[in-house]
Amino acid sequence: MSDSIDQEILGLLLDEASEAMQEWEQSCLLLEKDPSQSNLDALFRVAHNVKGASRSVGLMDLGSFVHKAEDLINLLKNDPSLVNSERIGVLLDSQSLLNDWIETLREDASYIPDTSKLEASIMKAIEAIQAGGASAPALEDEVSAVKENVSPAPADDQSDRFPSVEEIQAQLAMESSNEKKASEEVLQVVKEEPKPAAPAPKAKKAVEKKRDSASRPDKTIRVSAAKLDELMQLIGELSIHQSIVTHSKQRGELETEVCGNAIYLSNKITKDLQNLTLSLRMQPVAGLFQRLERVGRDVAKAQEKDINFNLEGTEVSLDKTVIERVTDPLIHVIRNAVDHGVEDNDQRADKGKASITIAAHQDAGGVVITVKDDGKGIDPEVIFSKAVQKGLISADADLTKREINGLILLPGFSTREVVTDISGRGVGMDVVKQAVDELGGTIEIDSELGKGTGFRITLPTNLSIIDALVVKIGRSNYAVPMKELVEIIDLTEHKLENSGSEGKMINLREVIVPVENLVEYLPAILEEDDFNKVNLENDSNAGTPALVVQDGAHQLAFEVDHILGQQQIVVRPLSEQLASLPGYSGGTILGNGEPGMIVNLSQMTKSYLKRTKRKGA
Amino acid sequence: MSETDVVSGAEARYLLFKVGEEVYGTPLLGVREVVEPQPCKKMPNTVKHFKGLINIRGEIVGVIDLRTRFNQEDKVEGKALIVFDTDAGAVGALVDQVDSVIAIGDDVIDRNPNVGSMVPIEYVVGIAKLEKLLVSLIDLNKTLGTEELSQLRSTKLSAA
Repeated sequence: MSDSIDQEILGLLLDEASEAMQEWEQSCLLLEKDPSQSNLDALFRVAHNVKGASRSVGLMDLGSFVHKAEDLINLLKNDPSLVNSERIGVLLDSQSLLNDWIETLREDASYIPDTSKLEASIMKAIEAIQAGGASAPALEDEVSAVKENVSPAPADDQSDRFPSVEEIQAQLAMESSNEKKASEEVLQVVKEEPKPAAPAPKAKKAVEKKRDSASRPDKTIRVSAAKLDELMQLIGELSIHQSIVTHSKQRGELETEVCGNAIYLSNKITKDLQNLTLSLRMQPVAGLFQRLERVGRDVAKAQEKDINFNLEGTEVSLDKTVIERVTDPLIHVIRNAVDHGVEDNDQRADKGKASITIAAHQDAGGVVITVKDDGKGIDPEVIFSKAVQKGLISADADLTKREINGLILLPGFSTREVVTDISGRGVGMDVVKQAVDELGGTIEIDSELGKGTGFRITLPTNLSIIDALVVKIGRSNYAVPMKELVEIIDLTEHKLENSGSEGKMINLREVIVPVENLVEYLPAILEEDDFNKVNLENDSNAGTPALVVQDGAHQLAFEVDHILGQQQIVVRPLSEQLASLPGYSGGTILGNGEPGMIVNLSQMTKSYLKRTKRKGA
Repeated sequence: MSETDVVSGAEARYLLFKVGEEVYGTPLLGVREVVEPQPCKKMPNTVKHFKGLINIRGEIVGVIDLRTRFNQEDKVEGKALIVFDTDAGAVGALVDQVDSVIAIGDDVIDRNPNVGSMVPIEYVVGIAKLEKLLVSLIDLNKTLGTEELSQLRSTKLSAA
């Protein structure tokens, strides 16, 4: 058997198992709200499938752990009235362990975690039910217990007993088809193997083999078949138009109407292709929201707070990378909402059960995710005095309510006197702001005392196409992301302030803004370049453009030579070497086909602030 | 893992090219393609032998001028651009001329040459004694990708 096929099958299985774990979690969360038969059936089906699938590729330990959980689910299934939050808790803990297990298996195919503690709680739950007079224990339980106890003997001679690829493929095919009967038959075959002790060494042998091969299972995402068909269709059309253009060129008929049409249509199709390809990376936020709900639930349970979680707009889609990078910050926001936002149960007796709403909706600027609680809200006065006390602002600062709320996002701000286990481990909300900033999003906080707090996070739907301003410094063109800019001004229209050693400053609507020349950060290349003989037009009427950026409370203007225009640019990945050059956030191909670097103005602003701060200190 | 490790003990194929008058060889396995040199887009704050960026079918590739790097004069424009697939991504190397692809047996390669050369020593993996000439075998694959390109002169960015 070849290792690569082995890897492929394991990868497929792990992908399926990860999905199953999401369903598991979802079913448990639903069960907590509504212990209905259908939810229990769904949970049982998930557990059963994971068990069968994992055994079919030799992950026996995983299989037998799921099997134990399945026993508990089975008992609950037979009598939904036995469902209680403690038992769901056990099943959710099992889900966490299994999820970690499955993810670790991608890195290390021989990973086996310590399941004894959870197994004990599962057994306890089962015993409690049985003591209450439920059905008899499944025989298989003892069998798997035996399997566990048999220490895996060194069994090289067993290697040939590992099921062949064809068998596994057949099993997998059946597993994935919805014919439950068929898959159960396969399972039956697995169960009826004569020696229960045999599978364990087999599994060990199999995973050792897997670890040897260097490659890890590839990560996959699910794509709708309709979209793939559409892609094929577009590519087909594109190649037809392309051949029309090629033929026209050969016959010297580039200026004909037929050729013109073909070029026009190729442009249109290319745009469609671009949109479609980007949409392949889009995923609904449902999975993310479910994870947030779970974290919130766990924290709420730990703090003994009764909280309803409402999810809205779960069908809204975001780029896969954006979802991945916003997950941890959002988890922090949720923890914060449960820990700081919602009062303890006894404090909100008159307000009824607390609720936290996690919602997403599409907006002109991207996707807006809101996390809203109906807790005690933020007291602006407390925040303000705290910020003054910490030296973050001066006592006479005049701030709007929203600006005061925004102070929470500053580094070194934490309102709770007592550091709790949940939030306030030194990781402040500033981490959330930083992560959202890096993605090019914004974060706002609305709060009303006694009514609750809402976090509003705006995220770009994708990262690979951005609006940019193309500017010229010396003879080089650079792209500057529009979202980094606050405004573009003409320096000649603003009053220059005399500032001595501090450098150039302007008066921008009564705010003093320092002006830096971008050429001092990215020096113009003065050597003669044979290829790019560009005439530096010295158009004195054009004024001196400057780009204004904002970093926290500071504004800074960057002077550039010329602004060439605004265009949508496709962000291209750079080699590590190029990516390590300071001052840039990426590369792109500009309209004229030349490579251009995307300037990282926020890095330059930070460098400026650092330098002036040092000077001041 | 360098390509030369993979093939030691057997014959391996090398791409021969010229920088100035000297002939060099590099493992063919690490070469992605050889293309016509195109105008490079220069970059500020970089070392002298970094020529700039080019656009190869939509991919942004950095170009290193091997003649400058090997302390040769570059009065004439390079005639060929070798694109390497390094561990850190694609890197282009500008040379005077691409010569040929030949197989060199391991038995004619001296792995520990004790010679002074214009070439930085970290590049050289051996000297091959061919019938008529000696060829310095250089592993550009490993070294080009890890070269430090950034050179902050007296710019304000250096405070970052």
